[in-house]
Amino acid sequence: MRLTPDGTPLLRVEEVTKHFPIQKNIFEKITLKRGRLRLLHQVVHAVNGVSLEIHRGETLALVGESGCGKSTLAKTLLGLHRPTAGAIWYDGKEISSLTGYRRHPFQKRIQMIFQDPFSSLNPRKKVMDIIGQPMKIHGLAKGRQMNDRVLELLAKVGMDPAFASRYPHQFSGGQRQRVGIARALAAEPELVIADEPISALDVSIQAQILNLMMEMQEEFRLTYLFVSHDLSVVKHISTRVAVMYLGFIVENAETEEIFADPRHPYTQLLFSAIPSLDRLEFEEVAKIEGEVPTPIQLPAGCPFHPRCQSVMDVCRRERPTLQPVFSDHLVSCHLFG
Amino acid sequence: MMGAANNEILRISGLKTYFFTRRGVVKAVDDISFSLRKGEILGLVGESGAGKSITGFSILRLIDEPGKIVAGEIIFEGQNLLAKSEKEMERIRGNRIAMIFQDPQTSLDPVFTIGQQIVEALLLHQNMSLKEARHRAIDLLRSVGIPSPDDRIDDYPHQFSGGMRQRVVIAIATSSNPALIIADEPSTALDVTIQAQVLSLMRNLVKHRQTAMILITHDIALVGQFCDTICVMYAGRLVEKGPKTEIIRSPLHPYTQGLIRSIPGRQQRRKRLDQIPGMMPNLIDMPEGCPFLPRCEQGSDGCHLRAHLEEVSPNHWVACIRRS
Repeated sequence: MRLTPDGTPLLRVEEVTKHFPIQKNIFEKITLKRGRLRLLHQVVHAVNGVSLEIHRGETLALVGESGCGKSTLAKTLLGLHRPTAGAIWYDGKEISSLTGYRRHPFQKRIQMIFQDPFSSLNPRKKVMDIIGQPMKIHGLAKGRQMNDRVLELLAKVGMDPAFASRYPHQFSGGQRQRVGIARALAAEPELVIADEPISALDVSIQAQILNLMMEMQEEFRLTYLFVSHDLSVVKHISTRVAVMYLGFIVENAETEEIFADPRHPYTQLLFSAIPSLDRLEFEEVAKIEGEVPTPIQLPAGCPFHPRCQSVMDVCRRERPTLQPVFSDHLVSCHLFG
Repeated sequence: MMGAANNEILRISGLKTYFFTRRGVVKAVDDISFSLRKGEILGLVGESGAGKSITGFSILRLIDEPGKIVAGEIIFEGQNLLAKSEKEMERIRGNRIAMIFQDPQTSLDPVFTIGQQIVEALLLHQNMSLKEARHRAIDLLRSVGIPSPDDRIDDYPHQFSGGMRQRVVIAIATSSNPALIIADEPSTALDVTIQAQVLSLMRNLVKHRQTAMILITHDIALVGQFCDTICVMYAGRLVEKGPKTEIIRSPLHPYTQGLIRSIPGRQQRRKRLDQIPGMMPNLIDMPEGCPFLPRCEQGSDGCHLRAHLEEVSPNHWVACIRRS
């Protein structure tokens, strides 16, 4: 684990695992095999023993392809899923086992910005009520005071306060995402989990929202967990990057370090596949072969070995663990074992 | 024909596609001209609503009511597509001009096997027996890198992954050896590593057979690598076109400049990004002047007049009053 000057991390995730059962009831479980009835019990291995830390003021980017478990992990941290195993420590307290009123204060401290600004705002509520709701729930403000706070927040996220009486459908995608950000800020959180907050927006709007998120981070001293598949965005906004593959963290390092020197073969593959304006020649990416295996039956050994270029015998047998290559650069690969 | 001499396969001039809605006229495509040579890959870039896809559909004459192609010429292989009858167009669509759509999930029919769908396309446009068509379909699946095509040909679309489905769509599109392929955001729905695979495949097929291709996308970094020529669209107009290195390295239109500047990853980390203020205007009853004026930092009085594309350096065209 990483040693830091300021001691306890804001959020510490310890060996968190989340599995979803596929067969929901007894009738789906029963199958006939070689003339005998059997009970099937299959699960989707969405998150498999993930450990990471987020420190105050950091922006940790969680990177990976769709289906790698990054959104499931984000929702587990938020309390929308209960982990199958493992522990989540927030500011020194274990929160994954808390429910009801014990969990309530932590819900306020961890807020979320969603990917799709169209489905994440209630179409029947006015902006005033959407942004005011978290204040009501957490008892931060009400009545006149709440209205004033909402108008203030709207101005902060770069919107005309007169928009408070409008409905979500009257806004463009970028404006809705601003409302989503204002709603997250309304609870006065410490940690904001942003799940692909700009991927649904137009190119010229993306930079606006990124700028807004960085401004808000400075102003409210926020800590971000930024879930994304867009590496150029991640490179710009994050301080640390964790790369996920099939529910495992395969590499975790500081942003500049990982972009300058990616170590895990999957990270290298991912970085080489992203088009960038630095090189204008079309590069044949022939080395990229195969597809992500199904998370129902995880490959034995290293989860990446069926696609890996430098696969060794040991990779097929033993699952590697996340180990430091240098002080602060963690890689889960037998090449560095 | 002059076009044939320099391998020109498609020439669009002055294309206008308008939508006549109750609230006013939407000029989705407003006076667009460009041309395409054999084996050339042209990238059509812009934000959603800029008119990129409508340009693609206009070429295939797939514009539904209340839309209408009101002016212009689309010369394909020496013939004006806008003068063709619907019957003649049916022989061109999917045969000489093929289209690849964004979402392979919806462009394949879920109730037919992959094989049936490829065979259908082959039988429709080519004179072959069912048996020949099936053999050809297996070859096509092999050529797009589907493992064990003999077995997979009888699978249904849901049994394929997104990347594999897009490969099948590419197989169908290339089955008739078209002269032009229009690909509308073909890799947007795919994951990055799969996107790289599919794009390599498409580029190889196209370059190998000298097929011309129009790639419609919002991703300017992708266009920079994949295409030969770039056309930048904004609010229904073509604002800049030219060879990719010119456009990416020395963009002239303020919109292109802003787009390229605002891409993160190349600027100082964790600092404010350059951004284009505001958003694209509503296309209903647009003023005649430059559509980008409300967001432009270099705008002046002259911008209220319409700027036409002008060649400022060889092959580099810009529609901006201040550049000409």
